[in-house]
Amino acid sequence: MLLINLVLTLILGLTFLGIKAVEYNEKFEKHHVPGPSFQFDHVQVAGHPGQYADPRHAQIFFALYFIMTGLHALHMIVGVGIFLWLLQAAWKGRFTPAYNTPVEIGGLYWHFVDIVWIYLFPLLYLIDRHPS
Amino acid sequence: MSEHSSSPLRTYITIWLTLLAGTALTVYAATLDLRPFNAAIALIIASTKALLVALFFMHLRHASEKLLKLVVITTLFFLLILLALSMADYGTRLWS
Repeated sequence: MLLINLVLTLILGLTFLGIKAVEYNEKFEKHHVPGPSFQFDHVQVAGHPGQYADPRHAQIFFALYFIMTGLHALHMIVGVGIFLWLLQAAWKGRFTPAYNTPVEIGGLYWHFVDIVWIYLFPLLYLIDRHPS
Repeated sequence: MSEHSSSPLRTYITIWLTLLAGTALTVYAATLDLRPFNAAIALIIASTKALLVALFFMHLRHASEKLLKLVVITTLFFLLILLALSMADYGTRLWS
């Protein structure tokens, strides 16, 4: 059961990182990465027909977006490393009902990364996207 | 862990389903036009979800040690200082 759950955690974590990679790739293709080649002209503001987004404001948003999701992704990669280590230790049968502190602490770390995403998801992806 | 009764597992699954419902609710709330309350509602739902994760998944609900409580309260206090300083900068900026 522990082995299955560890593998499931790894699969879901890596799926998240894979989606992130697709997302980042799209941002690079559309020149939405802050820097000299940043491009955000002629983008309509959602819910305000005829009004265009200010590229300077958009660049600040994307800078925050990349720093926050990037740091979160880095935490995820560290977490994947921790869970790979837990998996090999569990495979060797090192954890018992009496001794499972590393699993507990690894879980605490994973939940902390989870809480960060609970806040980042609405802040970066949902707020101000209401139509009409 | 696997030898325990099924009741903690049931709690975890209930909390997990509640968290999924919270996510669906935030996505739905984002489609409504509530002006300044969009951000407030999103953050209230997020804080409720974070509280559930901390209380049940991170086992703070049954934590009794005073030291642990002190650590959690201190952490939240320092987070508050960081956010307050950031907002002080943001709030006093002149957008030209």
